Amino acid sequence: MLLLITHNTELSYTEMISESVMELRVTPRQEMYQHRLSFDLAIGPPTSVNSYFDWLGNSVHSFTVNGFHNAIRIEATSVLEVDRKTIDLMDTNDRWPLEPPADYTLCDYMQFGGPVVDCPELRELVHDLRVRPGTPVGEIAFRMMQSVHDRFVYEQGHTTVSSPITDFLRLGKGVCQDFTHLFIGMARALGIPARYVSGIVHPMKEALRGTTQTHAWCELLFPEFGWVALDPTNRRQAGNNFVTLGVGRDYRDVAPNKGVFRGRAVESMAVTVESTLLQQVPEELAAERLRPLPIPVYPGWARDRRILSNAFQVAKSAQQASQIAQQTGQSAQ
Amino acid sequence: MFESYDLTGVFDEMFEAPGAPRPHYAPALERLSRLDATSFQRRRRMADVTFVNQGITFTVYSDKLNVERIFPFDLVPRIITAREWDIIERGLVQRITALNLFCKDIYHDQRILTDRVIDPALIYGAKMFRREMIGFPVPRDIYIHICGTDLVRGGDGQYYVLEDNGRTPSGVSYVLENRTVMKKVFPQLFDDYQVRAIEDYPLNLLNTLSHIAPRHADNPTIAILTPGIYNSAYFEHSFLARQMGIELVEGQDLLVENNFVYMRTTAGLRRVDVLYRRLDDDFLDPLSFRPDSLLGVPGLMNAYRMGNVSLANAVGTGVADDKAIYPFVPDMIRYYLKQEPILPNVPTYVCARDTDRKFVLENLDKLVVKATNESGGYGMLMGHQATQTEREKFAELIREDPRNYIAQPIVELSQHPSAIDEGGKLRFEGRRIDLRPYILSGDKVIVMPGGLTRVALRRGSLVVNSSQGGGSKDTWVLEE
Repeated sequence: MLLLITHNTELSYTEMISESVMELRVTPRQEMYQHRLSFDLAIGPPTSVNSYFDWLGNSVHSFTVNGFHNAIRIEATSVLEVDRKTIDLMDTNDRWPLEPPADYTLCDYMQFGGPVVDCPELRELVHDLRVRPGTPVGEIAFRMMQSVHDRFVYEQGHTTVSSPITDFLRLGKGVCQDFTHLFIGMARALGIPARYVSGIVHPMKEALRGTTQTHAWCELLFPEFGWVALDPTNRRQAGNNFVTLGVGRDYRDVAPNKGVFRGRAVESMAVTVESTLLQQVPEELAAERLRPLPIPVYPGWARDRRILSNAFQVAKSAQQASQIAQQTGQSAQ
Repeated sequence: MFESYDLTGVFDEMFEAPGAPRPHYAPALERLSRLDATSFQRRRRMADVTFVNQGITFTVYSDKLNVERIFPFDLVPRIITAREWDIIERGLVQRITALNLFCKDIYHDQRILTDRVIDPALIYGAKMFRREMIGFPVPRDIYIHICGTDLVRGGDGQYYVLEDNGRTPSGVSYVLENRTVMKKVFPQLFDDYQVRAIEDYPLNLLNTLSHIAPRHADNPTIAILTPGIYNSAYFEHSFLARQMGIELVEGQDLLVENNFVYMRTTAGLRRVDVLYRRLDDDFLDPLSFRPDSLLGVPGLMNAYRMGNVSLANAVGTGVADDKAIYPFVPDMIRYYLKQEPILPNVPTYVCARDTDRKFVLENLDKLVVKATNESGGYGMLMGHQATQTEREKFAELIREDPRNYIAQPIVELSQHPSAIDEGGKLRFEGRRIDLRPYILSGDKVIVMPGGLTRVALRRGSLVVNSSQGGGSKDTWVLEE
């Protein structure tokens, strides 16, 4: 499937802010099943952008805007081709329990951490799957999707991206991050390596839940097939309309954007994603391109008004729950 | 004054047998014995006043009042012979070399894991394993530039390594100040000895920091990054900045632009090339680590990653001084250096291992239990002194999160005479001590001759941490 994706993020602030520092993970990954032909990133206010691969192989773009500004706009446009293999979950040979993997770096996808919290309610859910020695792993995955789908309701406004699965288990309602984190927790409780995927879904005929914008799903490692992409929110395997942006242990590793700024303003964020099915590769594609957007900075602003607060704020885009504990910044060595 | 001095059951630094000082202590003992209580008191008051006036104080965190206290100073110096020091020094150089190789390996090839010398699960379960550092080449391959290794001496007189403080070890300012004060209040004591100088430490530290400056910085700007005045070691941060003639900055004084770090000065922005950061990894950069940290510099990690600013110590060294990884340092020495360790470890039970955990739970009354990611004497159980309830609480904690605990037999620290003042009468009593030498790795490894000798001032106590009522004394390493 050949897709053109535009992924735009508009951050606006109720007052002037300064010293914005941002990190983006919005570049579609290069994978066996996903070939990126072009990536174009436009950022305003104009600034210099640096990129690197993080330890998970996700490509990261970082930038700072130090002058006074009250808006940031990010436009990421990609052209890519997706060709995934799907498997028949009811016909797999890997049996539970899985041998501990020889690749120890998979530890990261087998231990709990961050929002993926081990708890009795999770264990209960796993217990109800009635997994027995010899149960095919594909069938376990299927039962897990069934269980999550039957017991939890997709509804926005109850959780945030940093909500631990204990919240989701208690409320019974949440969005794709919650479904994915819970699903990962169940897999890890069973000793199946599971990782988080952030991405974009091109809408197909049938209605998919949570597809209007970015989406989150999960990959389980089947020794026989490798990583198998499953969308627990919609109880299905990821198809060719699923575009992978980042993979990680959980949401914390793949947040599409996170930032910090100085000022007292309240931030609001609007994300719009559009995707177009292409029939042929457009001409004159740039493999990778960076462009400035004409969003203003106000260098004279500081002289007109005094800044009352010096505190850094974590941009809402990061949406990390912050509890400011007594900070000493150093353990007593 | 030494009449009732008790030597039973421990290694005493000064006496071989009752009334028989070790040869290198004889001249000092001679002078101390000739002193009367009044003149000793006078010297002590002089010393105390000097410390207060200099503002050499620290804060105890668990103390609700957060009051500043002076670090009690014990006027009887500890003396180490050249021969003994030679072993310690070689042992420490060997250890820091292996630890730096370990950090490089862990964040690059992970040979020590693929060869299964260390269980990978232990590393991947370590809170201080910073995945952000994977594949990132730090300047000159040095991770731990400043290390403060804790040594203790067992009943057999052997020095053991208790822990390697490879993150942001503190205390070196006390070492320098103790020497200054000692020279002022007890100059005669130095007459009989050739004590190795320690005063070049700030210069050596500055050279160590310059050594890692980014290539583009011909005349690098170096600064100390402090968490601020509420930090217990703030005195030390300002002391070292003053001694080295460099800036002392807080996170809010810095700013990142186009992946370079700048300092806000009255004359505008000035680029900073090297930061001696006295801030834990967690607080360094709210974008990469704890998002609620107001102490750090947003974007600092990106500037670091691009090689535009160097940090000492490097990010992620906590993986080497995790207490559950400490037991493997002798194996690291054998693995990377093909040498036998010169300084042994204290035997350690890793609760993450089933057999060790079983043993620990059965012998809680004989062991010291420590949380693997805590330091400074916090999160610790002294089994033999604890109540049954406290032991049960720890047993529960260990069962819940075995990876987070290790246990060690109670090390009988060596003792050293301390001057004890009881109702205006001067007496000397044995008090337990440890030793924290400071090691710099730059162009070459430099071990400061001596270090911080901490004293457990409560009679019979084995806890020397300043946060737990410890004091310190001047530490002499002899020339010959």
